[in-house]
Formats: sequence, structure tokens, C-alpha cells
Amino acid sequence: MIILLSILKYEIKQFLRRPIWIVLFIVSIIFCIVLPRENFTDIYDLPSMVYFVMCINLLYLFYGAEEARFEQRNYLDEQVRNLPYQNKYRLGKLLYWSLISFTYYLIFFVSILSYYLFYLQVGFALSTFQTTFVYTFFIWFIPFFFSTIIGYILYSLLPNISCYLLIIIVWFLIMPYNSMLGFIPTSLGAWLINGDPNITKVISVYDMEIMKVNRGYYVQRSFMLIILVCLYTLLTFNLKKVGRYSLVLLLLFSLCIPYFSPFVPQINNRQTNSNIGQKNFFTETVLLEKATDYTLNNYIFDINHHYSKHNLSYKVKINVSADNSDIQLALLDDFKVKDIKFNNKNVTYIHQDNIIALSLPELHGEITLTAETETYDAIAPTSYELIATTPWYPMNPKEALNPYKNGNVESYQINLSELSSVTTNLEIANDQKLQGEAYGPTILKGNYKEKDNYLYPYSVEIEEIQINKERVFNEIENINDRLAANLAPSCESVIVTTLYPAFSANPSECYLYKNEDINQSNNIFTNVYLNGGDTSLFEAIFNNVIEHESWQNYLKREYDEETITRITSYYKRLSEEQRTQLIQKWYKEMEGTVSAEQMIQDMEDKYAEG
Amino acid sequence: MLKVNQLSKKFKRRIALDETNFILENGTIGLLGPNGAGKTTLLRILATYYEPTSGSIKLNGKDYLKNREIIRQMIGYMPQNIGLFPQLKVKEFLSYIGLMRGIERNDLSGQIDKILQEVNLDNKSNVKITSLSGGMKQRVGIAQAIMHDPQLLLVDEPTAGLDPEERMRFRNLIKKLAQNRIVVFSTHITEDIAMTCDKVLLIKKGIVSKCENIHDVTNLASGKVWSLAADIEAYNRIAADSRAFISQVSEQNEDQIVNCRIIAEEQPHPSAKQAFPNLEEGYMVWLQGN
Repeated sequence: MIILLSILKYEIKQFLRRPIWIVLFIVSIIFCIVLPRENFTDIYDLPSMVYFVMCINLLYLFYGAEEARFEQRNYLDEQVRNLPYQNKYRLGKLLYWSLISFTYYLIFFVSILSYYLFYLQVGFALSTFQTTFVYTFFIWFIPFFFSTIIGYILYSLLPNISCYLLIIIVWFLIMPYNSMLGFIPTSLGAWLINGDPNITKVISVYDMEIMKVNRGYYVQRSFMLIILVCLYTLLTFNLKKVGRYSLVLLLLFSLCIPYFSPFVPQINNRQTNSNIGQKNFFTETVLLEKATDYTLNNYIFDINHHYSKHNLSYKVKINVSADNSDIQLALLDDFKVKDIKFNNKNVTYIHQDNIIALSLPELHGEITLTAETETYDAIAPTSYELIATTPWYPMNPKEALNPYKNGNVESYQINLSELSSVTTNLEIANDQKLQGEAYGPTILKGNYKEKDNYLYPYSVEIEEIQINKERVFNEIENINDRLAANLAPSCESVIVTTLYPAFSANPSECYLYKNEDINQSNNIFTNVYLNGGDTSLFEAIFNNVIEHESWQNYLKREYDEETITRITSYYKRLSEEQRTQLIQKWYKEMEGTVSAEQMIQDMEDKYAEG
Repeated sequence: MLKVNQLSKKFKRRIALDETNFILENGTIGLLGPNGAGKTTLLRILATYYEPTSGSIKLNGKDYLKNREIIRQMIGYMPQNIGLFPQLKVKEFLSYIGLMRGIERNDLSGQIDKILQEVNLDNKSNVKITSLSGGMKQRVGIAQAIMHDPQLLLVDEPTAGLDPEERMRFRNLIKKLAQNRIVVFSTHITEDIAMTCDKVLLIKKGIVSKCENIHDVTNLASGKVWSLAADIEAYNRIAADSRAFISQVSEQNEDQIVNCRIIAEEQPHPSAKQAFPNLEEGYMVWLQGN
């Protein structure tokens, strides 16, 4: 131990007497704080420093290479290899590099925290500090340390100028750049990564979800540590043959870890995220009256939330009673169906455009459906929001289109793999199952508070929700006036969501997004008043935005330019009263699914009426 | 006693050292051979830097293979290119190396002072190594190699690049150190060997021959060395003769007469007279004969 401490002492002395690295390290910290300072608003912004952290890693790769070059230039290998404590010297070098990178990390981390605390005057709780510290420890410090070893190993193996080119290539491959650009498959890249494996922003009830270090991180960092230390030891230590072979075996064994580890470091690399929000559900599939004329009941779920893999799977059994054998079920495409059985026999099905079409062998029986999702936005690594008004589970498309008007009460029994931090609209029975009757099951995992029929994220105050709810009611009143309608969601209980950015309602529950600024009125209008089909023209007229260029561009995806021009020109000529009359007509007769031809015809007629 | 038995070293297919056998006792042993002969390889094996491909080495009864760590405490090694931490001061460097040699912390300071006096660097103990001259660095190199009082001292080409005064000083130091240990002194400068060594190991293409004393090497050229004062024409003729090798030349400008020493089996010129050979000439004869 004394020898190791002495080695540290002499290595630090040498470091302090080579000011170039001290200067480079200090300058890098200053740059990393000064350059992005405009973007610092909260402590949650730390992951967005990914580019700067990557640059620091490059600096450490060069530092490691320079350490190896320094040794070679000064013939230190031959000097120390015949010393009795040469292995301790090599171990001491590892400790020294960890000390240098940790000191650097500490100064960097403290500087940034100080910037937040004293300059931006952003306060934070102890738990926030803990999460931040653990995150930066794994995403900043450990990669800095590993980069030094990698740089050292690379220069030891390729001791010439081309090594620096190799370092830059390696840097591209093992940094989050690979996640962005996909030089190597991300499933492999996640294991080689020497930085943040989860650079995509994660929305969650927890503001710091993206900074939560999962088990995959621990496994991946241990995996890298074993590999790097094995390589370093093989390169530098005096070892007997047995020791050398054992290390090679350990190295080979470690390389297999990614193949059998149940935990993965990359929990979030979603290139194909779902587009939830705005509407609960949308399909361009023609819904047939006969195919939606059935009832579903007695849902029995087995749900697994795979925290490390950031996905969710379930198996559900449902009693179905239909009048026709061909039925359509609503289920978001994000939930990939593994198989569907009817009375324990496989049935064929087609799942596309958020609709499952299947043919039942009998009109009454039990459907068993297994599904899994990796892309559904409302599922985060440590939290999720599965809400009753959204077809994350099989439901009748009519209910999915408008849960407020078409919702039915069914009975539910749900087994969850993990019950901690779960809040639900069902009862939690003694055997740890969720059960009860509802318009749909709502399961929220995360830190939610419950008070006076309000269920809301821990970070939101109840007063904010009450104001938000009032605003919803005001909007409903306004929309009712404009449409001459009389819809009135009771909002008996109000559930405030974080991951699901839209308003929706069924007869007993209202789902509000936590932030009232998110286009509430449009959400209410689309999710409560409109049914399925294309309502984009109606929405443009209702919102009085048909003349806006952005809307016109949007409509051009479905309609030709001439049609849009004609609608716009007629719309301009109509008086406010005539517009209101047409809006009310279209809503009353078609709930907004008015065709372009019908719209032009009606506007022509209305204009002709004068 | 250093006992080397059937020692070989291969680098892939190239044989760097071929079935070498010798026994060395205390004293200075010169390791003489041309560039690429295997001198550094042999020293590196003796210094435990390389592992031999086959064969065994015993130092005072301790087997290298079984007692590697103990052996490392028994040897001092000064490589051809001395590994130095340039940012450390002389005393710090020696403390650092001393600790890694396992010298007790309490003994270290006294030991360093003694060694620095021995290598005449006591007034440079607080100078950074990067500021030292080449000769001083060589002396730091020898200091780190002897600070733990090793039983076997290995020095590889230590006098290369030293000025005459430094070289002289260094030879004296080696001579002194060899009084109570084995010193293996590798060089291709025969003068160094002649001035310091008792015995010589001649090495060429990985094959080692041992000579019990310097004269054995010198005698290899006995009767084959000729001195001659020749005109330019005669000199050029001898120089072109593949049977003769000119080992020394000095030109007298005024009358264009060249004094030279020639190694040849037969009298190279009617005026050539036999001369007493020196070590270099013995070594040359050995080289040509092998």
C-alpha cells in the first residue's frame, strides 16, 4: 500500500511538472462550461453536454497515448520491467490515471454545480444531487478513465503517428456518435460505448429519468473494465504463463457477457418512436360496422415491464361475444402482437394501421393475445403511463376513437411483474393483483400523488391541476357553444399525465397533461368531440386556420392544391355567422368527417344563400 | 556465481542466442561483439526483461525461473538506453526506483546519499534529470543499478556518447564495483574492455565464446599483426588485398609515408615487421575466424 501511495506521489509530481496537460485540462473545463452556458437552464440539462463530454474523452484518449509515448521515449519499460515491484508500478499507474480523471471529473462536476447554484441560482434537492452524481460518475468519470487506458493500449500496440488517426476512428466508434450515426449496430455499439448509451431524451414522470443509471450500465462498465484491465495487464505486467493464460481466458469469457447478460446498457435508442399525443387513436383503415359490433369483457392481464430493456410485454385473455366472425380490434402499432389464440387455438390476424383484423372460429369465447413494445413513448425505463383511453391493450375501435362517447365498463384482473410505485384506477387486491371494473385500466408507475380524486405527478402542485381542470371546463363550454353541442365530461377523477401529452376522457375519468400550455383546447376538441375518419379539413375550419401556410401544407398531403384553394377562397367570402352555421352542420351530421367535395358544395350553397 | 546453461532465445524464427553456456565469478566481464550479435539480448535475459526460450540460469544457486522476484532483487541493470523520469530530480528518481526495488524507506535516504557520492553526483541531487548532461545521466543510470548493492550488475554499452573524462571516470567506477560482485559490461569498444575487464565473453550471431582473460583474446592475433611504413602505392595495394586487414593507419604528410598496422596470416610486404597484437586486433581475428 505504501509503495502504491509512493508511486502515486511521484507520478503526480511528474504530472504537475508537465504543465501542458494541466493547462489543457483546465482549458477544457472552462470551454465546457462557457460555451454551452446559454443552454444551461436546469440541472436536468447535464446529459445535453454529451458533445463536450465526447471531446473530453478524446482529450483523455490522447492523454493515454501520450503516456505510452512518454514511456517509450524515455525507455521506461525496460527500466522498470526488471524491478521487483514492476507490477505494483503498473497497478500504481492505473490508480494514478483513475486519480487524475477523478480529480478532473470532480473539478468539472463541482464547477458546473457551482455555476447552477451560484450563477444561475438554480436550487436542487439532495436526491437530485445524488442522481446527478451517480449519472456523471458513470457517464463522465469512468469514460475519462477508460479513455486513458484505451489511448495507452492503442499507442503501446501501434507506437507511431498513425496511432492518433486510429484513436480518432476508435473515438467515433465508442462514443455516443455511434448511437447517432450507427457506424456499427447499436446493439453492439451499446456494449462498446464509452459514454452515455442513452442520448435520446426520455420523457418521464421523473425529470431525471435520462440520468437514472440502470443495471445495464453497471454490467457494461464492468465488462469494459475487465477487458481494458486484462489488456493492460497482458501488455505491461510481468506474468507467469499460468497468469497470462488465465487472463486470456477471462478476456474471452468477458467478451461473451453481452450475449448472455439480461441487462443492457442501451435502454433508449428509439429511432422509430410512436407519435402519441394529439389524438388518442387514429386509423385510416375503414372500420366496418359489423366488425365493431361485439363486446369485450373479463380482461385478465400478465404485464411485464422490462426495466433494463426499456420495453413492456403482456399477455391478455379477454371474453368476446360477437355477432360476426370477422372483427376489428384497436391496438396501437407500437405494440407488436406475438400471437393471438381463440379458445387456446391459434388464429390468423393482420395488425396494421393500429387495427387488428381477425376471424373468430366461434362467435363466443376467449381471445388470448400476447404483445410487446419497445417503441411506445409512454413507457420509460423506470416509469410508465398506461391509460384507459388509449388502445395500448385490445379494445373496440369505436371506443378507441372516442372513449368518452363509446366507452364501456369491463372487468379487469391484472398481474404486474413489479407492483412498487404503481398507481391505478383499479383496486389492489390482497394477492397483489389489480382488479375491478372500469372503462379501461389505468396503470401509472412512478412517483404520483393522490388527493381529492386527483392523481398527479409528484412534481406538480394540486393548485396547478385545479387551474388546468378549470381551463378544460372553460374550453368545453366554448366548444359546446360553437358546435351547439352539450358534451360534459364529468371529470369525476382527474389523472394528470407526463408521458402522454394529450387530453382525453371517458365517462368517469379525465386525463390531463401536466403542462397546461400544451395546446389544451385542440386536444379537447379532437379527443372528445371528433370521431374517426379524416377530420383535418373540419379542424382547420373550426380553428380558423385554413388560410395559414403551415396548415395548407399539411392539407396538401391529402388534398390537391386546387381543392384547398377553392375551400380557402370560399371560406374567405363567408361571413362569421355562415361559417358557424356550417361548422355546426358538419359536426352534427358527420362529427367532423366532412369530405372536401361536401365542404365545397356546402360553402357554395351557403355563399349562394347570401 | 552466475551459471548459464544451454540458454537460447528465439524471436519467431530468428535465433538471437544459441545454446549458450558459461559460468562467471566476481569481477568485470566484458561482453564483446559486433552490432546485432546478441549482446543486448543476453543482457536482457540476464536482467529478466526477456524470458529465455530454453535453458536455465542460476545466480548464486537461485534459479531464474523459480525465483524471478528474488533474482530481480539480486541484480542491477543499466540498459543501453537508460529509462529515466525526466521531470523528477535525481534524488527523487533514485527514491522512486529504490522503492520499486524494495529498499526499506528508512534505509533509502542514506543509501541514496552514499550512492550519489560514489557516482560523483552528490552536488546534483536536487537537479531535475532533464537538466543533466549525457554523462551525468549515465551516472544516474549506474546509480539506480547499484543502489541496492546487487550481486550481479549488468551494464549495456554504458560509455557510448561519453567524453574521454567521463569515460575514464566510468571505467574506474566499474572496476571498483566489480570488487565484490559480478559485473557484465557489454560494449563493442575494445578499449573499454581492455581497461576494465578481467574476462571476456565474445559473442557473434548469438553464439558466445568465453575467454578466461584478456590475453587469450589478444593472443588470437599473435603472429598475425604487422607494422609497416609504406608509401601510398604500397599502402593502396595492401588495402586492396582481401587477405590483409589494416587495423591502424597514421599518415605522415611530408614524405607521403603511411604508418600502419596490418592483420594478415602472411607478411603483407617485404618491409613489414611483426608487431605485438592488441585486444582490438585479437578481437578482429576472432571475428574473421568466426
